[in-house]
Amino acid sequence: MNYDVTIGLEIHVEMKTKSKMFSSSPVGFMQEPNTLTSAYDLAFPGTMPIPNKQAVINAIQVAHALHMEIDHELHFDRKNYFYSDLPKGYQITQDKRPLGHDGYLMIGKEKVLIERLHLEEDTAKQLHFPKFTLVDYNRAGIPLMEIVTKPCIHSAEVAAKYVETIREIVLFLGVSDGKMEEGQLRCDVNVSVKRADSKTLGTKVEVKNINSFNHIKIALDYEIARQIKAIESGEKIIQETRRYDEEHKATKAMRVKTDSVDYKYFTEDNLIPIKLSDEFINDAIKTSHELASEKRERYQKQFGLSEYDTNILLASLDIASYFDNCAKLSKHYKAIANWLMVDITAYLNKAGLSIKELTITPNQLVELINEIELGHISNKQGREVFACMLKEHLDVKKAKEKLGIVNQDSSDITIRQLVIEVLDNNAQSISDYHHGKDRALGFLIGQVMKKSGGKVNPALTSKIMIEELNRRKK
Amino acid sequence: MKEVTLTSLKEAANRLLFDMSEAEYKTLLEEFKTISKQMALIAEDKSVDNYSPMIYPFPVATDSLREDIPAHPESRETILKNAKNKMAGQIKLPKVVS
Repeated sequence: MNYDVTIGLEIHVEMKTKSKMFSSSPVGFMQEPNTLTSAYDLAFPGTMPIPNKQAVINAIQVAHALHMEIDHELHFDRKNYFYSDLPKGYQITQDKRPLGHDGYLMIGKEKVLIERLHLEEDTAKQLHFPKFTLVDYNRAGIPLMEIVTKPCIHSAEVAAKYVETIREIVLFLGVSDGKMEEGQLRCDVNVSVKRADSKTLGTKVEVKNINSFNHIKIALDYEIARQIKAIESGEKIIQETRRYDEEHKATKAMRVKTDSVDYKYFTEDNLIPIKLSDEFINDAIKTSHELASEKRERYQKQFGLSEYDTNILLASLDIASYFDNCAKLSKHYKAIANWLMVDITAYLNKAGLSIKELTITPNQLVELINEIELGHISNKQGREVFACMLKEHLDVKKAKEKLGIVNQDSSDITIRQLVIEVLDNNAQSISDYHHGKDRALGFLIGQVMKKSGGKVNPALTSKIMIEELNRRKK
Repeated sequence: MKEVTLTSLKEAANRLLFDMSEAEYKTLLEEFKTISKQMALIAEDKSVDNYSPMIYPFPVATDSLREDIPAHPESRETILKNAKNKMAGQIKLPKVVS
């Protein structure tokens, strides 16, 4: 029996603005509890909300990246519920008129339809213990944007890729760090399954608490399989909220949804509608950072990098920024990419550092690459210089001096003369090479290097040696 | 529309964590009766369905937004001043989830 799967996603993105959505309290992560709050965040009487301009700009930039229609007026509503993480007793959100609506995102060949993007404020963080709960209001009021798809996704793969792409968008726009593990990007999933021949949609089940990209696909695969198994055994799917249990790689029932919760939405009358001019919206869009998808296209078309290289560079915004800075200084794009993907990544991983902590500047890396590309030093020497630069905090010139490395001789005449001298004295090796013994070539090149005191360009030496050997072939 | 009674007013007040005297509840009930009559009168005019609800008596808007400049937060001591129970710099509550 075939089954149809329908998935809808709700993603909350915590923005990295300097201040909160409706108050001037600073935004910070991993700070001492209750040190980033104000009277407004704690809902003291007489305090009033004032929307954060940067949060609105961020939301416009994301809405634009998601091909959405952007409302030219901001309207806010109150979502009422009583809970200790919400001192006002309501959350300010955009229920009736979201900032963005009717967008889409292409995931491969699949078009994911996006219903809405709206602004709201985050709630306080609660730590639950067996007998009590602790509340930290630092998070209360941090700007959030909620991005809601239509129920149009039909596989766990596309759903997971969609969330990854949203993360990539907010990360590259500089709107959020998008760390799921730290709650900066939270994902709730609605999933239903029905028999392919049924005309009625299946019962919707919500899965919450998915806190990593890897878990999205695992949770969805599990939930889809669970619902199919239930249908096949004649069991009724209950409309409920489930959570992802990381330990058991399964979804577990949290609560049954008898009715949708009535939040008694109504207009936030402390905030009159805010008009967004064409100029304001266009400026927000024009000042957007380059998206990962745009960088991907540029790296491949302009720099000739492969899809594989591009994806590795774009896996980290900081690496991509470092690459961009180098690419402004040199056209050896592939060499820059290789250094970043191999030597620099290996060093950073071993040292437990991020690229922001790398002491070698893009200028210095480009200088080192130029030395290699011009044939002044070999690749092997380049790596030695790189290691010395890191260890001693030296520039390329001083690292070369410290290592006693002088520029290689890349003169064809000088190298050819040395090659001829070596060949004239090693008839047996010439014979061995002509009889298929490749090791003889290495020996002969080694003799040239020895004779030159290691000063000749090995790549050029190899090329000339092969030319001269072929010339002596009987 | 659900009828507003003394019981429903008391329930609503209870949910909002406050209480009033019996005399105040009676006064409030009378006010609600007046409002309900006015609403019923308005509802008789079917042309009102063509109008969107208004929040303000006349169209009003602004283009003002706050610059993203953080201000000094209140000190933790101030923030926790009214908390009955606190622990590790946080407000301590009875367990709120089962």
